[in-house]
Amino acid sequence: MAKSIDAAVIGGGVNGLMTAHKLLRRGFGRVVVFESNVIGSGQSSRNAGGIRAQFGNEKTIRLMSEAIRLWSGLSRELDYNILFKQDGYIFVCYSDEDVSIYSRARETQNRNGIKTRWLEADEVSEVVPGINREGLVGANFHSLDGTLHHDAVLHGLMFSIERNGGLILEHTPVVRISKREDEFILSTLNGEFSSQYVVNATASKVNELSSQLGIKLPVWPVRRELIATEPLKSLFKPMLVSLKYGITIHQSLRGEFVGHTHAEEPQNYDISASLNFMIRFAKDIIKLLPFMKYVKIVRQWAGTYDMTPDSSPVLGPVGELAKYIVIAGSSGHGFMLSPAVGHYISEYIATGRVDELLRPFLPERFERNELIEETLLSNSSVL
Amino acid sequence: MFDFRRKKYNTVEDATVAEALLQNKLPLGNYSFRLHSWRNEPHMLKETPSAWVTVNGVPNLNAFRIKLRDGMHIEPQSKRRLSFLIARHSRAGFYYRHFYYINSIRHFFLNFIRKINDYGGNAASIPEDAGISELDFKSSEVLRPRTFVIGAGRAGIGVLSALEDEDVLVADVLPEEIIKRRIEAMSLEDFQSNNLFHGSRKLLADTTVFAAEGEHLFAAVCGYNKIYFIKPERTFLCTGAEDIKPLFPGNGIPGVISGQTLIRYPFLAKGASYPLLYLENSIPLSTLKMLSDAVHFSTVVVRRADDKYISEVREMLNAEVLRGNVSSAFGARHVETVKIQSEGKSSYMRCDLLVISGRKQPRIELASLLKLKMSYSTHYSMPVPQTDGRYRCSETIHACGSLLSPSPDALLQGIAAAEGREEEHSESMEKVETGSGMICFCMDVDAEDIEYMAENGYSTLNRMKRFSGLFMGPCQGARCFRNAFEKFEECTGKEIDMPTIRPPVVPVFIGALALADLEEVSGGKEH
Repeated sequence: MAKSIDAAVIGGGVNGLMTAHKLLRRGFGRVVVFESNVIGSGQSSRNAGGIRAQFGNEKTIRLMSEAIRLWSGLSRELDYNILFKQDGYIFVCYSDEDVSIYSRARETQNRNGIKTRWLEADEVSEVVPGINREGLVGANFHSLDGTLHHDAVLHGLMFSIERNGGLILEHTPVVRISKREDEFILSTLNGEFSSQYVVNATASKVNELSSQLGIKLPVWPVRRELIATEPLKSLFKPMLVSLKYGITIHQSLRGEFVGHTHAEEPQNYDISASLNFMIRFAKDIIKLLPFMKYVKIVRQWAGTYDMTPDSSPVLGPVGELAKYIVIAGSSGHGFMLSPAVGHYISEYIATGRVDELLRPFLPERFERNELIEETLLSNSSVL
Repeated sequence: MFDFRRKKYNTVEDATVAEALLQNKLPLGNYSFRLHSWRNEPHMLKETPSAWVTVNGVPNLNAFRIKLRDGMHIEPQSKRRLSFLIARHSRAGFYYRHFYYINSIRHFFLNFIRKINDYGGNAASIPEDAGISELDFKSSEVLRPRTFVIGAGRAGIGVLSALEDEDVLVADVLPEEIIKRRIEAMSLEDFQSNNLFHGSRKLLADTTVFAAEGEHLFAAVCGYNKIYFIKPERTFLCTGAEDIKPLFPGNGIPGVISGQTLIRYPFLAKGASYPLLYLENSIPLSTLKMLSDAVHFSTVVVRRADDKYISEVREMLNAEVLRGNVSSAFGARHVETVKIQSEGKSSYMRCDLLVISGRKQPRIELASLLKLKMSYSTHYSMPVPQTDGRYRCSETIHACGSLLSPSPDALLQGIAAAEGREEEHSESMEKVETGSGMICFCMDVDAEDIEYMAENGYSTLNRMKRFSGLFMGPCQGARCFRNAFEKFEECTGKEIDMPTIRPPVVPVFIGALALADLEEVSGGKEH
């Protein structure tokens, strides 16, 4: 006999936990999170914790600005400090040709209530001392973007879910899923569960279970890597992004620089750190921040991006299966979007209403060919 | 002349920055993020923050690695600030639990943390050219030996003495002269040392293998400034084990150092009038000899050893040897007194240098990066590489010595491994109750923090790591795995979930990496 529950969330990453947390707040009683390993064992504990509304397309900008609003209240909501600090994102521009891309993005952002400003080169080097001035034109800067501590978010969500009566089953993969009348049956090593609603928040592995229901989404994995340096005194506060050099880097509260660069990476689940990336990063970072040559790399790790054809997430119910909801394909923005995603997905489950902000991200956009066009790209990949 | 804190001092001939500072009675050491205590111990193998100084504007330099030159500007990185008062009375991760109800207060507090965090030098003043020759980064070089031996300790020397192969490369973290001294100390008791480096055999001293990709591509850093890519056909892992401090209150006080540190920096014992040697287990007599060369110990405390070993120690050192253990150390800025428990009684002893050896933690980082199969060792309470019974971990990787088990016969093991003989293992050891004291010297996590986290819902080691930064400091776990695992098991009764070990094994300068040849790396994949 399958245990009956109100909502099943598959995947104990930040999106799964956030959805479970929001469902519990909406009064759902029996919410169970199934996690094949431990919570946050995928990309949720491997990212750099960047939060930004500076995108090049309206749809993502609007969803993200809602997410930022929710982030700033989350510490209190969880009763746990997630160390969210809004010090901005600074996108530095190194060629006159790129200025038009930057100003177009800025206009789109401003139109949607994001107060991105243009900084001249001199202002940029005030914000980021030590930056390479050669060819530097200026930068887009939005002060409400920021960073947070991803592990603190995961711990806060975990404690909150447990406090509110939800259940997190770690080391419990869902091995089979099937539809019976109005319910889904989930088989796990801890027995069978039946639920009207299933949220599949397994990111790049979304098709493993979905295919059992005859669903195939265009989502594939790509390895991404990050580097952390030894700690230094606080030098600059915002997240620094250079499209030209492919670098994204910020300094944590502890003083370490945490950064990423673009390197050729395999499209699979291999998450071992590569020597190739470490050297690539070293070569790239000293072009942007020359002083970094006297800084040491302490740690390097890898995670998996779940990519889609338009590098934007796939969110919401899948076609006719109105109660089978996916959260996947975040293309590297899953963590920053999660409070908005959790909010609107739980709203959909509670009321059946698909919010206007969520609608552009529905899975059916691929069939209708309504792809999301992102313009802020570096070397034709998404940051 | 050189200056420290803007005061001028006389240059000491042929000395490192650390030696010069210590000889001028200047402090070396640093407060940590949580500021529980001094990060005191200048450590030999790992780049730990304990000996960090800023030289000519370059922060986080190991004072022991940089030669003192005329006109150097040296700044300490040990600034005691207000946060010390907050931090010393709070447990790990204290900043997660406070100051977040009102956004403006939260921002103020986060900026405050940032401001007081003087963890490592000032990035804003890092110059383009530091004028320090150790930091003149050089282009990378590729070496293709048939056999690669990692570690020239007892096991590595054993392998070397038994191999007939001419085309061998040996890499070790220690400088050449210490490796030579070590071989000399060994040759007395065990074998003829003159046959180690014949043919085209080569020793890469002062070199640490920091990454591996597949079994045929290793990356090593020599000194601070040069990267080697090593592409061997087969490899012997003789990475040995680190001397770590047992858990007892006061194990983090300056003057409490490990045996390996004393061997590397014998001058640390200079001026010590009451040195005390504490052996948790028996250590090889050749190592004991190197320790006693540095300073004469009139008292030795031995925790676990047979009578024969104790009389050998007594004879060799001409010292009083007690059976027992050191249960705490006292002293504000330096160790002054230790408490010894011997034969059911406790006594206090004056001591200004406590040298600890015999508690070992295997250096499993490379084995882990090579993705070798690991199995749990009851000797060490942590996983070590699994072998086929003849010291082989895979087609081309062999492992031997203290990496596998704390046998004092690592040399004989090395010989057996090179000859492909069957393994012999000593009996497993009884467990000793862990005490309290500092566990993670980089992030300042102590035994009470582990208890606190276990009680507050951070129920796995992985969560503890993410909450407190345990294992994530510059030493990357090389000095805390074993103590943390034992304390964790004791607190929770759970099996350990081994945290992933990340490259690089030691911190590596971006400047050195930037000069590495990328083609050599991608070429290595197809090997």
